[in-house]
Amino acid sequence: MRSILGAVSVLALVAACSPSGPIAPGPDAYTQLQTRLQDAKAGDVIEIGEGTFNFTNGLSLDVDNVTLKGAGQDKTILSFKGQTGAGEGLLVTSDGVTLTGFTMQDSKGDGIKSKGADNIIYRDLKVEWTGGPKAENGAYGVYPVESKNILIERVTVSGASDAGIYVGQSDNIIVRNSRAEYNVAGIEIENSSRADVYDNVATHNAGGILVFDLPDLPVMGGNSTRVFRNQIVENDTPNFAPPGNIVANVPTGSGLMLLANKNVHVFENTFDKNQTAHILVLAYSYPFEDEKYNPLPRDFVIRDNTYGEGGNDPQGRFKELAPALGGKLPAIVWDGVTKYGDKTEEVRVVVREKPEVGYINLGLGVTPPDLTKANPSMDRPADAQIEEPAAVTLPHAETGKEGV
Amino acid sequence: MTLDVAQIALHGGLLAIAASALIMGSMRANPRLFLRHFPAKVRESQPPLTAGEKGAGRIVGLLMLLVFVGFPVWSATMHASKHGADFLSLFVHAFLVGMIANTVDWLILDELWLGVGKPRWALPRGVAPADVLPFEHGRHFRAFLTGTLIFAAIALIAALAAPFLSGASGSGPRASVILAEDPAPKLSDYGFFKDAAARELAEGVTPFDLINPLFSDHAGKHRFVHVPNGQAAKYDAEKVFDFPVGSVLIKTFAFAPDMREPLKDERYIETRLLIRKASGWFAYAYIWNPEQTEATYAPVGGQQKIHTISPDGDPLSIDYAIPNRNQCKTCHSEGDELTPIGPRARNLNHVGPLGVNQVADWSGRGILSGAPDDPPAVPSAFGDAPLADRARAWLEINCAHCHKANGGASNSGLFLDWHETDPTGWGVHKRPTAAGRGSGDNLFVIEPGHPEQSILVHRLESIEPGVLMPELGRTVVDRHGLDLIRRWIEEMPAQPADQP
Repeated sequence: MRSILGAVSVLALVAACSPSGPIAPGPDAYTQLQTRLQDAKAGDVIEIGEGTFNFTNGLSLDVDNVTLKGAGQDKTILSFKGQTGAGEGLLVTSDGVTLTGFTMQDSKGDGIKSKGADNIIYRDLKVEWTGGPKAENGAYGVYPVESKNILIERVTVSGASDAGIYVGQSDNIIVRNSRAEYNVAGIEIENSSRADVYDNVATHNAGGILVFDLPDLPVMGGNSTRVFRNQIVENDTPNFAPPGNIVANVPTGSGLMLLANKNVHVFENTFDKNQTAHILVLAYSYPFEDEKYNPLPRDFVIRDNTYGEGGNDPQGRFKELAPALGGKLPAIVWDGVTKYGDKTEEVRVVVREKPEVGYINLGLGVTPPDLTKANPSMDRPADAQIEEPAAVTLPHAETGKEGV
Repeated sequence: MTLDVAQIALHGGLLAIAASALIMGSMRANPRLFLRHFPAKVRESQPPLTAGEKGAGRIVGLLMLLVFVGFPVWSATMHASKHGADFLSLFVHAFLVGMIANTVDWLILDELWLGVGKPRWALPRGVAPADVLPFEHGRHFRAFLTGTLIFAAIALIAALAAPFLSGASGSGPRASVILAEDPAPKLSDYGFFKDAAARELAEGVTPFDLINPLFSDHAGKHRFVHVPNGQAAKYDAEKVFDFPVGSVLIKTFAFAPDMREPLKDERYIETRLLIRKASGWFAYAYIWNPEQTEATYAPVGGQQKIHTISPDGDPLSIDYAIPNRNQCKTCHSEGDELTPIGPRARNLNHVGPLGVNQVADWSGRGILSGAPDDPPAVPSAFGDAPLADRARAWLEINCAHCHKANGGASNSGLFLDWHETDPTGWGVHKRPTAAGRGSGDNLFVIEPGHPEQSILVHRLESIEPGVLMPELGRTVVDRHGLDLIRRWIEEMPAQPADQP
């Protein structure tokens, strides 16, 4: 009878307790973590303990409102060096997810990808390729795409063969207090609307920060991005992107490159030691057939930034152009394209900087441009009042200091 | 044996509460209803029971019988519908449920409540506590032992009745197991097959195949469909048929020692189920044991080393990957919905493994309704249709589950479904979006006339994670598919490269 009693109480105990506590490194860690990610319920916090975890397969999360939490950057290290499966280290496809406090290393494809994952928070993360900048590294470090309401803060990415922090085809975005180094592009906002990029450091990339709008994608018409209070300095890693990718065309030493897009405001950033130029404002320069696409940068405001030396050794397609301009490019370069196909647009590019800040309009006129037909001018475009987009607010995260 | 500890604890607890409430409530109303359980001394001191009391006593007794038999039977039925009708599991399950109540009755009600608490109101009028003292532990323990025997008998009844009550008995697919919220622990729980090795089909399970299958590292595939008896999937000329709730698509992946004879000494690796429940489709993978007698639910998937000879006669070593639940959805998604890929009219419309046209056969069996006489069909990728049509048909089944407007690769803007009409959409002079090193130094997804400069070809001939496509389900090169795509691109008239 005592044994029956014992059995009953053991049953009750087993029923009452479910396994929890942080996952520890070990041979079963992958299965434990992936199981917990799959079995998670909304509101769950899945903890990963300290240590290095060697995973041979990618992780994935498809449950809404789950937090994946490590013991801290460089404390919880997920290494994908031996990865044989899946295209990324971690794939998130659900809404309301928070990723925080861990390091991802050497994933074969992208580091962390979140697709169609609204209200996501990337916080206190590190994504790195430990062999340094190499074309074999994965394309993107953190990669939210086709999502609404994205917060990326205190994230460090290094070694990405495309963009370290990349936000694509998304809406309502904050990237702040983050660091991107030794990537082809440090931070890239592509085909997205309403993005605030501030208080970041972009250094030792080929290009520091990129704001692009590209054709032939489901979401186009990028607009309303503010880039402010960033340190965009010493972007000097030779472009190591595999050819064919659009960022392979980013000249080494581009501080901030703005391509197509509308209503982009750049202010109070610090630029220094970017050898091609501090700021490039360009039209999309390839032929395209997408009739919905506008390749021109429109309504750009550049004001109140601080510029150190730069433009002293232009790279990429600006290399051939430089001799005609005395071997150097000024701080701010606009290609002066206002026409594409048979369409001409009013292109407003406002430069409200001190007179000593260098500026050039290459006067290329039409895209695809012919660099031999440059008609440079130092005349600043007429000032125009272009309303700045309101500060981005994120319903799912405390937005903190709004900046300006 | 499958024991669901949580459910046993819950149902046992519920039974204990119900029984305690019934006993204590009746005693509160009239302790004389339990007169025959009192010591002889008390019984004899009481006036005989009135007719009303006798009637009430019988009702209480009947209720107790109902609770004590009904609960274990009901609980075992739940277990059977969730986990199948294994007699031993059902017996132990029902017995433990009863024993929780039996133990509570003995320790809490008898020993604690009556023995220690000695409530005045549990005694008939005129009986003093001293009349029932000393408390006889032995008598109550004997009652507990008797209860144990009774619950063993009840468990026997429950184990015999539950399979019938749950519908989990007999042959054929078990609707209750198929539609249970959680997947069954074993493939055999569903009843799709007559034998443990899953070679013999149960009634209501129909084999089929596809005109163009997805390449999965040369794995042999056996596909079956089950549609609930008396119901039919609704025909759709474009999309996957609209299957009724309770339908299941079953696909077993297998390897033989020599894939030139794929059925000789074939071994099953995994069986995947797509189950249509009321809230949508659900995907579950079951991994076969080395003895080939049982397949167990594997939510996290797994990897297996396979050594075989390819259909072309080459030695082949494969790190075969069994997908986890999220990976199932990576391919089987339509926006946020999980969905089957294969069973649509144009890929089913040919003579299948039963030697008859599948669409007509399904209609004849009554599992498909509304099919026209001339449904569409895709050309076989390796048949004799025009090259471009075969290439597009191959791309659709191998790529379009992700590369479509509402698929996993929608953000790439590369759409490889059969109906894409824009050449840029299917890759002609389309620049890569997020290919990274997957571009292989090429500028375009397809460079007409130049397969060696086309990203599409580069990713099909790679076996490197992060480069190879499709991302899941392939670790070796599909030579025949690759040749097809190469020749297709080669034969496209070269166009001037779009250089700036």
